Amino acid sequence: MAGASSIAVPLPAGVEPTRLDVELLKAAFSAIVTLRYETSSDWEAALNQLETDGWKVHWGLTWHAEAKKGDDFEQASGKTLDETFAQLTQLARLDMVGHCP
Amino acid sequence: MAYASKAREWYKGELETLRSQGLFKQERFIHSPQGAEIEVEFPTGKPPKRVINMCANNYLGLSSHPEVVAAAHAGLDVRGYGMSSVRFICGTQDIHRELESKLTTFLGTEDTLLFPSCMDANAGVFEAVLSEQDVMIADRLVHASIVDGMRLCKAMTDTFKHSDMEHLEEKLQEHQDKRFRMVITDGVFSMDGDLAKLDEIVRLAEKYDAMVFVDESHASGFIGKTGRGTHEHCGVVGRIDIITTTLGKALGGASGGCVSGRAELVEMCRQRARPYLFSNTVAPVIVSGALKVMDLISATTERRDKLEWNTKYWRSLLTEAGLDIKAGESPIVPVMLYNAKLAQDVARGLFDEGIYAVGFFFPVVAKGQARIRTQLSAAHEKRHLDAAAAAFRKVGATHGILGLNKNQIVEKFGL
Repeated sequence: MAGASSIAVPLPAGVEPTRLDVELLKAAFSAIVTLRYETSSDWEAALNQLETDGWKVHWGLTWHAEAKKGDDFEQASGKTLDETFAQLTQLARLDMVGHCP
Repeated sequence: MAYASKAREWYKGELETLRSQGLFKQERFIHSPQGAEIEVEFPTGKPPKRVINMCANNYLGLSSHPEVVAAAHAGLDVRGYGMSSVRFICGTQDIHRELESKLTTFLGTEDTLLFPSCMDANAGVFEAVLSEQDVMIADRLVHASIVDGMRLCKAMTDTFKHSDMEHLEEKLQEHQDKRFRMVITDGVFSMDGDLAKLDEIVRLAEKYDAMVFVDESHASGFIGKTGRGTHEHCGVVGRIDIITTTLGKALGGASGGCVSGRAELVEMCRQRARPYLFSNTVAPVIVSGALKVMDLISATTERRDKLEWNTKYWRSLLTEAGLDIKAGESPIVPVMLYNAKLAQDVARGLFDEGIYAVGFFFPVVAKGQARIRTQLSAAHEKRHLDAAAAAFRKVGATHGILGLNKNQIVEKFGL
């Protein structure tokens, strides 16, 4: 995005973050930035409208995973990584061929 | 315009890729009724050739039975051509109710609801009876229509290794926190022709408080002593909660399907299943033909008995010929070739010898699992099977596959 700022955070010497570490750090920073700088209230208006229409809405941060193989694409969300990847795995298995007419 | 030259060229490229990979499926035009022998125009433009059909789901040979045809004719005269309506508005005739009642009696259930196809039945049933509080635990080789139906449902999806009862038990234990559990399986699996272990599935379902769903499309009419299906074969009639099956295979071969089972579950489908609510009713001509089919198969088991004999005989012929076939007892007999091009070449060779059988390859089956899936019919006479076996021997010898096992075929032709 043209003109977007970013922040680089040096890590202590010798620290080698895992992929999970990096995702957790990104999630933490994203949440802070969102709370501090997101001024649009479109999401609140949408939430209020859904509740007015009778929906019970639960919302919050989740893990999200996507998998692609050839023409097949699956995505899953969950409160934990285990839950997310369990669902992704099951969805990917549904793509398994072997369904003769 | 969305379909500009860019989109057209992209799709042309995709289709060309299928052709170049040998994965392009070509229709063949049949100039006769369905039966043990048919007239096939192939390649397109050539005069039709009379061949023995070894790939129809015409298990009981009823697709062109004169009494079924006559009943359909009578149905046209008495009940008209089309209803121009979904069921619940003005699309239900007395003959729909009669057919549902006969299917209920035949399948040994509490109630039955017709759908335009079993594909529609499978698409609609799960969403109608399960919610996000529930879990569907499906065999990993269930039919594509079941997969589609599961995707449309908000219940959690889970799977168990094909026919692995230990793995199923683990899954049932794991999901005791859900409101309802539903175990989902085919009765006869369409790829390999193997039967589900319904007796064990029912035992586990009753132990762990789960419902059982079975798609009997490749079983209704001929599996089990009186042809009621896999549940009869496994001794669990009356203990399956939902059965779906088709009228488009053994039961006449036209179209139509149904959900059959516990009265409340069937009624939920009648109230909520989207393919039932939003798709046209089964046409009177189809219902009339299917009613005659139900009468014919309820009166005698001679057709399913003949199919059983044909199946055993065919399997023995192919085994003696040295072909690699999947073991089993159903009239679905896959001749394993593993290589897609080999499957297509053998199918073409068989056609030249007067045998109509189609090669199955990716994406219909997994890569490296190409085959020619032969299917028996009660319409086959011994002479048909002898001629077909002779053709398989001849074509098999031409390609040097007789007597070879999987590893040897793969080494020779690749995957």
